[in-house]
Parts: sequence; C-alpha cells; structure tokens
Amino acid sequence: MNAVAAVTGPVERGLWRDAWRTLRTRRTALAAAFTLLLIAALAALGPYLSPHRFDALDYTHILAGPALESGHWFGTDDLGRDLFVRSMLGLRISLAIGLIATAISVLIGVSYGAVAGYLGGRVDELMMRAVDLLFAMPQFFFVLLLAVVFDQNLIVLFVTIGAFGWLVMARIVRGQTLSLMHREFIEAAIACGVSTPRILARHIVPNVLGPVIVYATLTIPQMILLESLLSFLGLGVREPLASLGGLVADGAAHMQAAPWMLLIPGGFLSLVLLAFNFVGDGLRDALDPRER
Amino acid sequence: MQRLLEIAALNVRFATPEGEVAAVRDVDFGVGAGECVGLVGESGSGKSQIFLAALGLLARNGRVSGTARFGDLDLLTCDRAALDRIRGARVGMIFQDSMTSLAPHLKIGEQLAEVLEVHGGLGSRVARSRALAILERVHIGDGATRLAQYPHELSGGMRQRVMIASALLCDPELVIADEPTTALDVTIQAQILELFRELRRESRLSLVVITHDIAVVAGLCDRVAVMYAGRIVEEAPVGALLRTPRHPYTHGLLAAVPRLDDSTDTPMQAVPGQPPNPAAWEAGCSFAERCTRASEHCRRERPELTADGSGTRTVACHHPLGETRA
Amino acid sequence: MSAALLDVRNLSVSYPVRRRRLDALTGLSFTLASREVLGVVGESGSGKSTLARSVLRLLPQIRGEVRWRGIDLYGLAARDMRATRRELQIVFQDPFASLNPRMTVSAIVGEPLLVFRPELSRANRATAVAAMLARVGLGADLMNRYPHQFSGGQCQRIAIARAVIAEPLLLVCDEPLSALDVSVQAQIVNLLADLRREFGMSLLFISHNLAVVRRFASRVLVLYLGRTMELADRDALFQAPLHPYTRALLEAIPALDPLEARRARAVPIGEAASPLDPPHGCVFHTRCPFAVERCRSEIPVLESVAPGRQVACHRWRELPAGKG
Repeated sequence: MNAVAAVTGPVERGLWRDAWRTLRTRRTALAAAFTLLLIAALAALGPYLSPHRFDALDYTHILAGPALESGHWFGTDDLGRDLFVRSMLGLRISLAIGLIATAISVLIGVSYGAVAGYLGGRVDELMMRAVDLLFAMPQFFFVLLLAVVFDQNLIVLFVTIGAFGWLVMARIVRGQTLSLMHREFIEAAIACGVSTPRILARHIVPNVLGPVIVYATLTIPQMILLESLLSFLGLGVREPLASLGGLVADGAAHMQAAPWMLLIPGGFLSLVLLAFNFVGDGLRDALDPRER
Repeated sequence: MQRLLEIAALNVRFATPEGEVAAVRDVDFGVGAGECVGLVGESGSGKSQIFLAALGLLARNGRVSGTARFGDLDLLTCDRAALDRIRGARVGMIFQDSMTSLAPHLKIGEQLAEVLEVHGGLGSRVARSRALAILERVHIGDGATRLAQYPHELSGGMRQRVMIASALLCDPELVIADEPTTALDVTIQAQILELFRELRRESRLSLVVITHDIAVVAGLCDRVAVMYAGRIVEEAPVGALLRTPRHPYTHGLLAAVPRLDDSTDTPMQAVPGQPPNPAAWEAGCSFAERCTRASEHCRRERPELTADGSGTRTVACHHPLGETRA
Repeated sequence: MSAALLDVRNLSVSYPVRRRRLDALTGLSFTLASREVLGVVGESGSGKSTLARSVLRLLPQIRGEVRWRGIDLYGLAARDMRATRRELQIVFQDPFASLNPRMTVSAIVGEPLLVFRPELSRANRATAVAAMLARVGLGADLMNRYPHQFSGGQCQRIAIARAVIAEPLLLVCDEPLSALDVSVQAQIVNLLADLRREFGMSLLFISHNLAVVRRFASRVLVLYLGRTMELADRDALFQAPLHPYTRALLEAIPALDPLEARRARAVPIGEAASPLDPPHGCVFHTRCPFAVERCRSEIPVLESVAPGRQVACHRWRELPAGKG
C-alpha cells in the first residue's frame, strides 16, 4: 500500500467532496461560473426590465446608439428593434440550444457508450464502427441540409445539432466503461445476479460521471458556436427570433454605421463561450485526476 | 561506537485538508555498520516515512524535525547537492512497488546506466559491464537480454532483483529495502530473502528491512523495531523479540501469523479493532483501544520507550508481557 | 458421504492474448461436497483467479464441465443462471475494488436481497442489512457511508456481508486476506470460519498462503501453471507432501524462529514460467530439483495414489520423504 496514501487516507476520498475542494481553488473557474449565473439571470429577467418587445419596430430610432434617455439601452438595429431585449433574447436562445443540444448528446452518448462498453465483443465492435462511420460524415453539411429541408424548424435544429454531439461522448463513455469492467465490483454485481439494465444504471453510469460532466460542460459552447455559425449563414433560428449568432450576423452587416450592433451581441457570445470553457477546464482539474 | 545511520527524535508531519497528520512521532532509530535492522509495522504506521524524510524524498506537504545523521553528514540540514551525492551512491533505496519504481518507458539497461553515469561518471561501455556484473550478482541469468528489456516484460520477482541490483550498483554502505518481498509469490520471496542473506555474507552491507510481515525479519535481521501509529513501541534483538515479545502489539502480530503446527479448531488470536487513523491524536497509548491489557493509566498517560535490565531491548508499555510465549 | 455439490470435470480455460493463446487452466477436476472446504493453493500464474471465475460462470465459456448440484452451469439459460447465482457467491482479493464507490454500504449489502428476495419490503430489507452488518462486526450507524470512508479490513467485511446475506451454499474466496494488514487478517479468518459454520456453507478457499489454507481446508489442491500438482486431505498433505512443488511451498514459508529461518533451504530455482509459454513435459520441471530427462518430455498423468489422493509427478515414489 502506498506509504503516502496510507498516511493521508485512501486516494479516492469521495469524488464530489474532493472535486469541490479543488474547484474552490480554481479562481478562474469560479469567476466564470459566477459570470454564467449572472448572465443566465440577466437572460431570464432582463426582458422584463425593458418596456420594449423584441420584435417591435421603432421607426423613430433606427440604428440608434446606446442611450439611457431613449429607453434603448443598447441601441437599436436597422429595423428599429431594441437591441437590449434582442440581446437578452439571443442569450436565451443560444443558452437554450447549448444546454438542450448537450443534454440530448449526453443522453444518447452515455447510453450508447455504456451499452457498447458493457456488452463488448461483436456488439461493441459494430456499435463503434457505426460511430466511426457517422464521425466520418460531414456533420456540418448534414445540419445545413436538414436546416434547409425542414425550413429552420426550431425543434429540428435542436435535435440535429445535439444528434451529432453524442459521438465523442459515446466514445468517451465506452472507454471509461471498458476500464470499469475490470473492476471487481462489476463482477460482484454479476455474481449477485443483478440484471444488465441495473448494472448499467447503478454501477456503470454513476462511475463514469466525472468525464461525462467535464465533456458536457465543454460541449455546450461547441453547440452554441455551431448554431451561431448556422445563424451567420442565415440558416439558424428564423426571424424575428434570433440567437446571438444571428445578432452578430446582423451586426456584421452594419458594422460601420452601428458598431454596437456587432460588439454587444458579439461580446456576450464571447463571454458565454469563454466562461463555459473556463468552467469546463476547472471541472476537469477537479474531477479527472481522481478518476482511475 | 558511532553507528552508520543515526536517527533521533524524528517527527514527520503532513499538512492535509483535514488538518495536520503526524506520520512519525519521536522516533529514534539506528543502524550500525554491517548490521541488519528490521522495522515492522502495518500500513499507516509511518515506517516508510522515516526514511523518505531522512533522504529528502518526502512529499511536498511534509515537514520534518529531529536529526538524521549518516556517517558524518547531517541529512536534514545538508544541502541538496550533498544529499544527491549520497543517495544512490552511499545509500541505496529499494522502493515498495517495483512496477511503479522502474520507469516503464526505459529499458532496464538504460535505467541502470543512468545511475552509474550520475554517480560514477562512467562511460557507457564501462557502465554496461558494471551493470552486467551487478545483474549476475543478484542471480539474474542472461543479463545481456535483460538489459534490453522493459520492466513490463519481466516477472515480479525479476523486477525485484533489478531493483536490488540498481540499489547495489554503486556499492553503497547502507541499503534500505521497503517491503522488498511484498506482492511476491512465497517461493520467490524465499529466493529474495536468500539473496539478501548472501549479499550480507559477501560484503559488510548494512541493511534496513521495512516490512509488515514479521516472518520476513526472522531470517534476515539482527535487531527488530516494531512501529505502531508512528511510534516505535518495541525494539530488541530478533531472537528475543520473537521468543519473548514484551509489547502486546508485537505479541498480537506474532499470534496473527498462522503456523503449520497451530490447532485449527480454536479461533486465531486476532488483535481486535483496526490500525488507527493517522490523523487521530490520543493522549494515552495509541494501542490502548485494541489492547487486552490496557488500563485507565494507559489511556491517560503515554508510555515512554524504556530499556530493560539487559540494555539490549526497549519497550513502550505500562504493562509489558513478562512471561515466555508458549 | 454427501453427494458432491460442485463437480468440476476436466476444466480448461484459455484466453487469446495478442495472437497467442494463454492456457490459464488445463484439465482441472475436483469435487466439493456440502459443508466441505477445499483449499486451492497457487502462486501467480497458477490460474487460481480463473478457477474462481469459472466456478461462478463469470467467464463467457470454458472447456470441460462445471456441474453445480448436478446441473451443467454453462448450459443454463440466462434466467435460470440468475436464480442459481444465489447459491454461488464470491469474495475478492481487493476489498476496495470489489465495492461500488458510488453506492452506500447499505445499498451494496442490500443489492443481493433486491435480486434474490424481491418480496421483501424496503423496511425488512433494511433490517436484514443492519443485522448482517452487525454480524460481520460493523455498526448500523455506518450504513449510509461510502466505501472510501472505511479501512481495508472493514471493506472486506462489507464484501463478505454482501456475499453471505442471501445465504449461499458455496462461497468462493479468492485470496481474501492478501490485501489486508496482518493484524486484521486473523480477524477475517475467524469471521469466515464463524460464518461458514453458521450458514453451513461450502468454501472454495483460494490462497497462496499454505498456512492460512490449512486453517480452513479439509482437502487441499495444489495448482501450478493451471494444472493440478497434488490433491490430498489436509493432514496427509502437510505431513507427507508428495509433489516437489508442494514441498517447495512448504519450505518457502518463512519460519518465525531466527535459527530455523537461516538454515539452508531447498528453494526452487528460477522464476515461475509464463503461462503464455509453458515448459514442455511437466510444467514444473524447470524449477524442480528432482527433474530428470523424462520430466522434460513427458507430461505426468495425475494418478490416484490413495483414496482421495492424487499426484502428477513421474518420480513421487522414489523421492526422499518430504517435510513431516
């Protein structure tokens, strides 16, 4: 038994407690998490603070700059729509896409990967070859295609973006599951006659959560970015709704006349992406070294 | 006469999130030239930490106090360069787990050569012949092939021999072997113990054997110290310790070894309870809660290590065993 | 003379390893009666872990037969196997690895009840778990803790509680003491002996430590590189070992007397051969002090030398008397 471990206690002193302790020391991750919370609160409550609607056209203030007196705190766009409310809307949609699409990919990826890793053998091979195949496909073009075919339907957008994110998650979970299979508590569960679904649910999945959480946190910004790209190409959420990417696209067109149209949504987008990445990094430090 | 290694009043503490953990408490330990001393203790007793601390190999959150003298050198206060010079060259250390102590990505020959180059400044050809010679000394056949192999290609027993070889490369005066036979099959263990005996016969090697298995020290050591919860609780010449243990813990360790002539109908004499949490601190004797002879006095006041009449043994107990073990 | 509960016939298990084949077990045959204890002694590479897993059908397939109460275990349908698992349980070597770190102790120990006694209400299950924990020496106040909060010895107690709670007929112990502190080993030995008596279980006790095996076993099987070297009643084996490997194992046990420990012993030479590349002829011949030409070319047959006594050695008759 390792001498140091013998003195300081077994290495795995409780995943969550240790993780929390490590996370507390990662200032950037904490700051980023706090920022995200602020942004989420803003996105949720912000629109109620302003008298304007996101699709209301104000002909008296077209491409107006940010001004407190006019009631348009972030200014307006080329159609006279208030940018503050639209930015909040954009935040809501981008965050929603990020979270929902990630949730979909986690659900699919974890189930798929755990089953493949657990069953092993031929089934595992088949399942992972399927993943390889899908991986080789140009994801972006598929999403584009489906966006066009389904006329930028919001639900379809969520699903198709999330549907490609599960591939890497499945690979990660399969790898973790394979290494878990060597641990005796899985054999003990089999010896106790525990059914396969229960083994997957109670023994495998809870023990792969560490990398899953880390990867999920890093997937969210990827999803947001993907949607932003689509919006930039005009194939994201349909007007008058807009994600941050859509707002950035609008803003880019009017960059010289009204720079705030680009900078404000762009700033929010960058902040959100950065914050998620920092939190993900911090979580990886906190969770991964403890995982075997 | 001055002993080769003299450790006095050694304390090792670790700063952990749960608070300070005292791994080694007030330990005196010494090895004379040509002597073999055993240190017996279970996990958490701090036995490895004594030597890791003395050789400057402690983990980053560890603090040492006390003295550790090797020859004329004060190990705890000397500079890093001096420590680097004696580690490997004058003091060889065999770590616990050979699989993790040998670098998995380097061939055996490269690892041995590295030691020689660092300490002897030997050229590669001389280093190689020296490595071959040392492999032969530890009875590793076909040394040339072994030098070209990686650690994972060798069996456990073979790796252990390589570890011993590596510790002997520079002809050290003292070798510290930390759990040298743990995780080895019993037949291989017998071979390794025989190898140690042979090495001692051939040279005036001083040896420290750290182990949790008291049977290992019987055939190898001249003197044995027993550790519990960071403290030495008994020290005696090996024969005396095994025949007439004075400390109840030593007695318990000996009784826990199943023997081939035991009656199998009666339960084994087990030491109740479990080894203490190193973070725990008690006022009285650390062993009191597991001791069948403990009194209120034991729980209140810690017994000091006191020498017996003959001067060859010490024990830290208020109610030491006096009678001969049956 | 009760009928054999466990009847292993010509068990052979191989694993594919990097384009080669590793023969973990070859031609193993033995029986185990009700309430009997068979000790299996072997070092690393002997195939003992494979044996433990074979008996419990934790391996996908085997050659030969494992018959439990007359039924071929590997021929059972999945659902029938699940029901049969209640009767076959196992305790592993590494106490920490055998417990799910994300489950509480009560959930771990209660899981077999969920599977084998689903009729129990939650409250009754909790009571049974608490009683079992108390039986193995752990207080009920520890029920909601996680494995990492316990010591090795305590974790092994939890593992034993889990194995025994559904009252199995056979308990396979795969090196249950090796990872434990010496002062705790004796406690677990006593606990296993008590539980065995109380529940009337048969035990397949696997260990590399002959002295410990002697405590439990009424018969002993000595395994080397997946083959049976010797099978005998306990006293016969310890008093008059016939196979050179058995003798080597006995000689290798370190004596607790310094004089005894230092006398020259017949220590087997060399390393155990790798199971990937076993020696021709008798698998032990490369380390056997008595090996002759015949041993290098001809695999010795496991012959019956007396009722219940078997040896696989060409020269057992002519060897000088073993350690008595």
